[in-house]
Amino acid sequence: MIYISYEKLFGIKHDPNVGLLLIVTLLIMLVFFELSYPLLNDMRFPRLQYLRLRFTNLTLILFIIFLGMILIKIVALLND
Amino acid sequence: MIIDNTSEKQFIYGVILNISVCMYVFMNQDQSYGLVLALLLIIAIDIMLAIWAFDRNIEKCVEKLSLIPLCLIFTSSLPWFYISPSFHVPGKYTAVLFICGLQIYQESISLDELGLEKGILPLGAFLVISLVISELYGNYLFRDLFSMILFKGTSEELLYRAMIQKNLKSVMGTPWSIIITSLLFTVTHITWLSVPELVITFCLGFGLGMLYEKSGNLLGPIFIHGVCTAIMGL
Repeated sequence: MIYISYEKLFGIKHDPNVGLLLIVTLLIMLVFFELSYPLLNDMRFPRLQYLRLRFTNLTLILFIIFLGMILIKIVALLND
Repeated sequence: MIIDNTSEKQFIYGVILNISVCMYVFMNQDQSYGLVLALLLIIAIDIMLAIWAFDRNIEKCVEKLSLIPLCLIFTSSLPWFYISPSFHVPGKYTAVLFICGLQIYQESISLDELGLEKGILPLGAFLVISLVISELYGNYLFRDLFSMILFKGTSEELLYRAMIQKNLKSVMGTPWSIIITSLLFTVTHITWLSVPELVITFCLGFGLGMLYEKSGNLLGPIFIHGVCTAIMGL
């Protein structure tokens, strides 16, 4: 069982900032989903559907992590 | 692009090696870099699977292997400090169960294929009795048994035995699938950094793999895994 320091991993003073990296990846994934949607039925890209399916899980997990980070920020703001 | 069978196997070995490096960096070097490596590994695997026309068995095998870094990212990045420390183990392994469940739902895998069809009633009865005893008498052993079997045993056995070992078997054969799964099982417990403990973990993984292979039922490995973990107090 691994216990890690959330502040250390996702704090802005730590290098690399994992939180920022995860969110940027999430944004890139969402942009990819949006841009590749019109090409879904295009026969020139037969593996595109598969790539979208594979990225779905990662995007979902990143989105849940993003929600967790937002929750922490809201709680921190309310405590201030 | 079509690649030959040898290259496909080398690809699997490469993925296994990269997962091992990720786990080692995360647990013994720097957690941040471990997470970054895990994220890059998942993305690289997804892209490579989409670009190259692998055999379907290889694809499924690598898909299941990529669940390990995904679980690492998911369980490490959620704000566990909001819940009581006594719920950390159930919480983290529920996250692993969520990822396994997602995969099972997407691929419409039946309980029979997972090896969960027979014997689920006695195990459920045992869990209920454990919970009742722990609540009535405040018995920590039964509370730990309940928690470890239901969460740690179920999630890890689903991931390693029912998903990874089963798919590796179709590519590498039974003996190698058990050995490689046991090695991965050991790598994810590398945080202990004690050779005897790692050897015991490997032997336990090997035994559980053999049991799953011989019986075709996942409940035996789940029960033994949970009991061992509860007794060792991990």
